[in-house]
Amino acid sequence: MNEESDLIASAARGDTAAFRALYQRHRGDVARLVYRMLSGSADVDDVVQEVFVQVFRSLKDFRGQSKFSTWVHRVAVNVVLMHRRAARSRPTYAEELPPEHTADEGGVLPDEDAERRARVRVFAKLLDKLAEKKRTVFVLHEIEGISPQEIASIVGAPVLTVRTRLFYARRELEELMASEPALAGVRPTFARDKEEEP
Amino acid sequence: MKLDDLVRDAKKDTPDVDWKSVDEKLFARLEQEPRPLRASEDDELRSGGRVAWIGAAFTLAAAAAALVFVHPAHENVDAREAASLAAPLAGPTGPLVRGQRIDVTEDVSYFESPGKVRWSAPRGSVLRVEQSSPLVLSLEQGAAEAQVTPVPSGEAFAIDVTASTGAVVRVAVHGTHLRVARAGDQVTVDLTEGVVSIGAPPRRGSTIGTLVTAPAHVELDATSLDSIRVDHAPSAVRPAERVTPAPRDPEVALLPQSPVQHEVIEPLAHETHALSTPVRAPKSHSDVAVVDPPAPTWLTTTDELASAIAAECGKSAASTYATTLALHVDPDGTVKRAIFTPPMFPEGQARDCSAIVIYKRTKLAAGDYTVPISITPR
Repeated sequence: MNEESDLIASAARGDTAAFRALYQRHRGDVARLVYRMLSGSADVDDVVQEVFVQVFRSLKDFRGQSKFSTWVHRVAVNVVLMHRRAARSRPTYAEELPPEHTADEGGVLPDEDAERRARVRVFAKLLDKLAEKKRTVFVLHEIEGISPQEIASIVGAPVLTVRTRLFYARRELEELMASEPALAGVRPTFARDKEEEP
Repeated sequence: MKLDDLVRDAKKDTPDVDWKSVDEKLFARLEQEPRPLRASEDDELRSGGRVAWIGAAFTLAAAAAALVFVHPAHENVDAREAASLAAPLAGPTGPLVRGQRIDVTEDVSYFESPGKVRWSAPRGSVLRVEQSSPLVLSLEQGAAEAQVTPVPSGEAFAIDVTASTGAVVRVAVHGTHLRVARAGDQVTVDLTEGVVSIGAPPRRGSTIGTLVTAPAHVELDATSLDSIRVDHAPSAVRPAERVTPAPRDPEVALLPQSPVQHEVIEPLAHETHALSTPVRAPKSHSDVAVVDPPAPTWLTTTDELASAIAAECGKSAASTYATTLALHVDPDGTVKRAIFTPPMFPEGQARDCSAIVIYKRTKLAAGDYTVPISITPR
């Protein structure tokens, strides 16, 4: 039994120290995934917290049939989706934009970095327009770099379905980009992607 | 610009998480969570009687091993043979049995169930052995301090406090260093390592109660579990003290441990002796049931302290880490305050590497110290 298995076993018995060690190992990955799936929403801290509460509650059900990190990702994806559904049902008074640095808040950012941040914000808005399933697999694969096989385990769908969602997610995103003034000059490439897909 | 370019930009965009806030909120919530129950524990609950019987048998077996130490004429008693004896648990002043009352008349009395728990109680304390496996003590008066070896499942040790109303509060331990004291119905728990669960004693299985993680100073009124107050400030926690007598005889301290200690479930050995009385060396390895651990190498300079912390914490460090330790040592040599600035990295805290070095191995003159520490992964 390796060290992580020992930690998981201890944490599942309620050993908070062991759980804290697991949390320290995985919190960075979870925060990144949550942040990207929430398109940079300000709720990241709360959702990360909720993910690890759910992990703590569900540890006893972890059977070791997948990597622990994969299982944690699955929990994170589910918590994010629940959070987004709950957020949609809440009334909003203004469009929730991701936090951004301005000259007034944190000094002048280099132009290039400011441009990049602006692009990322627009891209996040586009991602938000995708259907949940397509957005999830797109974030997991294209941004987080997780293989379709592992994504299949995370989202509970066949690998072929994951690949199909990825294909359509890319295609929709490129169409959306082409119609986004802030991303003028974007050239659709989905025709190339289509050829590459099985 | 292509989609891939935007993806590349998005990959560079990382969240700015307030980890301190998330950590605090998360673990505060987890303390309120009921302890997870595994299937194996469900089984244990269902077969509680059988488990308890087996545990008692092992304990009796181990008890006989302790008798070997106390009464050399009984040496080489086979553990299986011992298990069949309805013999009480052993100690130099007489065996400890379930229900036995322990009045501590020495400055400090030390007890050990090898491989499970070492505990001590100061003069004036009164305890009763409620259960032997796992060991459950009832604290009637005074205090008890324990160092508990974590167990694979369930609870390793517990201290009950019965209030004047008859209500019972259990401090159940999974593996930790703690001190429980009472003054009437007022109970204080100082937790320097690990985690405890404080709640009503269950009829079987684990104590479901408030999960408290170290460091913590807990106060409650034994008449009401709702009165529990938890302070996680390190400065509020009473520093850990020895739960074994300071070794006086180097010959004994260097004796090898008995292989019996590692192969069978050992007894509750009862050592009640004054600190000034050296432990006698046993005649042979076979009759060694309880041997004090090797004397710690005291750290008498700040350089030695810095090196020791760097060595211990380096085992769990992922990268080079620099911090400064502010230390206050009382005139009696007790480390009263230890603060890392910036705080020790989480893995270092989780392993309690620095706490053990600071509170158990340091012997500095009274005063305030500032100790720069540089930790390199090992």
